[in-house]
Amino acid sequence: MAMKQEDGDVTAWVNTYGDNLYRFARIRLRDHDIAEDMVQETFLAAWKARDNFKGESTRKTWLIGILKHKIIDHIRKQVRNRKLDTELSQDPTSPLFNANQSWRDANHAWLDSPDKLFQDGEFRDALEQCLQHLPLRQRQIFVLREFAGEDAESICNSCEVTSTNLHVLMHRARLSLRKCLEKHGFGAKS
Amino acid sequence: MNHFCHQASRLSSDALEHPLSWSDRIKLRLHLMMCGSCRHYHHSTQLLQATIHKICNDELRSQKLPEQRKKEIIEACKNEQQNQNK
Repeated sequence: MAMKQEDGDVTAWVNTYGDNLYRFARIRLRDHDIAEDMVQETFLAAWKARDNFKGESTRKTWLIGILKHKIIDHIRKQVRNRKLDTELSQDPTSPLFNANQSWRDANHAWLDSPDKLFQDGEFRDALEQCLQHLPLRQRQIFVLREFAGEDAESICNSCEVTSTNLHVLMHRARLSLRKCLEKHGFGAKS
Repeated sequence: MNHFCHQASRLSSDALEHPLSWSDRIKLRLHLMMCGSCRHYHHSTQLLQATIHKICNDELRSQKLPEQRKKEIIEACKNEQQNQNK
């Protein structure tokens, strides 16, 4: 009888919270396979530790908390062997400017609206491709900030960077993405 | 003579992160009045941010964990339960 009830609970857990957890992970990781893996690991960890859940928060908050830690661990593991100093010193956006700090190529007006770009499947595909071309830390930070809407302090903690580093990397990410999206044919005047 | 464009691009980005200081706000505003390239860059960063926010809101509403994966997770948890009971 107890076994049946517990089995029922895990099914209810996954059916009730699975989509929410997946959306939380997918937004932050931009990879559906990794997001699914994170969700599975979260449910497994939570199921093993279910007796430790004392109800101080809602079950959803508890599950999200476990997932958040798994995502942070994943992010840190990805950059473990890549020195921050090296990444900061190598600025891939410097060729966008002349030595006198003016733009190397003139920028054209982007005439589209957010609604139009949002509805354009090719734009969304190009955006994901351009994100993948960013240096890893830039991508992690940009996604957490712009996609997940996380605050600067939380991102600095997750990615182990200072707020100065964060703003430098956000700046570079924006420069790179604009350039990349224009290469895909978006934004620039014909 | 050094131009302000590189700094202006940084201020355009920072303006999306936090309120600029009064002096930075003035410097950026004055430069944008005079520099078309920077004006277009400034606008495109705002446009990109607004578009990404729309994409995220859509993902938060519509994306679902595949049903097959849900079954696999349930099965994995039940197997874990059986291992614990051994």
